[in-house]
Amino acid sequence: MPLTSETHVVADHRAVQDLFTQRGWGDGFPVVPPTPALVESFVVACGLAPDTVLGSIPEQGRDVTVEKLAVNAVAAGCREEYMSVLVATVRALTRPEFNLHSTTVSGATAPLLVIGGPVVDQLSVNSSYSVFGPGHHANATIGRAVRLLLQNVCGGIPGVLDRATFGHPGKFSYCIGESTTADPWASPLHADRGADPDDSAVTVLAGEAPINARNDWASTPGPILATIADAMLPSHYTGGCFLVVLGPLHARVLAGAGLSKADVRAELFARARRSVAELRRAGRVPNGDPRADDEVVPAVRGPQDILLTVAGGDLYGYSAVVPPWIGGHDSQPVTEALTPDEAGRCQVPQKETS
Amino acid sequence: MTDLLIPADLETGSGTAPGTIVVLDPTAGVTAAGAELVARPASLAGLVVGYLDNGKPNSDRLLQLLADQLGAEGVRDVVWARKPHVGRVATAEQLAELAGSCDVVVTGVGDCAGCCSCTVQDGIALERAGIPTYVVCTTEMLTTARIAATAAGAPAYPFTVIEHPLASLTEPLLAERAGVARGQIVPGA
Repeated sequence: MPLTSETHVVADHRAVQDLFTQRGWGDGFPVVPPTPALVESFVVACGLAPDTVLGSIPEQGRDVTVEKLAVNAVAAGCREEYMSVLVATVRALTRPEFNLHSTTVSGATAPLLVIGGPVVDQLSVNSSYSVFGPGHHANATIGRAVRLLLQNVCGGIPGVLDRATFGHPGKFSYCIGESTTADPWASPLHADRGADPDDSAVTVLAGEAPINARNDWASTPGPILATIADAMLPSHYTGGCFLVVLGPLHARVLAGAGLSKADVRAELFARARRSVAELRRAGRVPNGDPRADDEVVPAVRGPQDILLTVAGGDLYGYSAVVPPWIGGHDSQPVTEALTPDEAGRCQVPQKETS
Repeated sequence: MTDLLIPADLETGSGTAPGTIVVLDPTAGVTAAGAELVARPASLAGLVVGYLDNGKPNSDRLLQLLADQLGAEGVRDVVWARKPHVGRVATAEQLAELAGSCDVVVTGVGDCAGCCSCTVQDGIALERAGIPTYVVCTTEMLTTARIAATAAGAPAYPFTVIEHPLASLTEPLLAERAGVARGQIVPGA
């Protein structure tokens, strides 16, 4: 197979790590050496030619090819069966409305991947306890492959082109599965966004760190919706889209009371708002802003800017709110379905315990 | 840092001495061909000057103050444009319109990592269309601007640099910055 990446020869495993660190190619953790043989096997796994251009980043004059994706996926420790999910992810990230360039180099976000549909189980993507946390190979390494790609193909080297003040821990890896069992509406996020509900899909959103919304005591929707809406209030009020990850217990209460997902979006939109006076007290309105104190400012432009998914453990009453990028509507979430062929390529040996 | 690499003369014919590891480079080169920069005019007298506001807070005011000052140079006419998305490159239509109606263009202000790269790309796209373009960016963004210019095929692109920050400045300080930019656009002014 004609791979065209420049090759580097180093003495040993430790020298590979040093090479990645010194050149700003790594995230600080050890990488799997992307040898030609491994990279080739990853390219073969997705069924595309290595020079296939998956997307372009006009702001940086660069293309993302299958080969570069494969090099970074190997380095991130992925299994080759993850490649087709990554291919769909790159297609989503490089759509102009996502604005990969600016969300990578400024603000405090990482692309959050929400993987939905049959591939969640096929790849053992965690959608349950500690869903934003460690311990699951697919979540950890698929998200990490995106991170390495951002540094190596999208210019996001921290402190060089990426001038984020803080960033957040999700910049190491930010990838969750949508629960295939705990969603009382049996309606995946990608179906809400126009994809076939039976497909597998990846939804990407430039997200800040998740904010936990705990309400363990309510058995009716009102207080739960109020708690989640309250977690949306530190928003930037710049018109971006939130992802609300409903914990299974919250989802059960909401659906059990007869609310549809559209009802939940509408209720959250109605509740997540602040008066200009409150914003002023918080110092979040520039001097000279002409708006009256009693004017009410919603956290999002409308219910359609609230994305809902169900994931997480089902022991406690939590949901999580993922706030958008500071640039707001300049970055839109994107959902990209896997083709049947791509989804079919995503199959790892199932854990004996699952 | 290159001492990590095994020198070629120690490699075997296949490129791998026993025990060594060959890795593939994870980075991607730029796709843009080299850009020829257009000669800048010695004077703006009689020229149509376009202003492409990238939409950053205070960019409109800075460019307006700069336009007021450059007006004294005998500028024939001015054309104003504002990008719909601060964090993306300008649309091809917007750039074509400016290239069709202006003799020179001033664009800015690149004062953040996202917008600065885009503004540099816009400037070099206009240069490719034959229009000398002055990209105004802030001191903090020079490295970003240089990376962007390299990616766009013009690593030696000359920037019009004003002191960082921009967004929080009051009118008198903005006018001062505009004066600095004017001095770089019209040397000796």
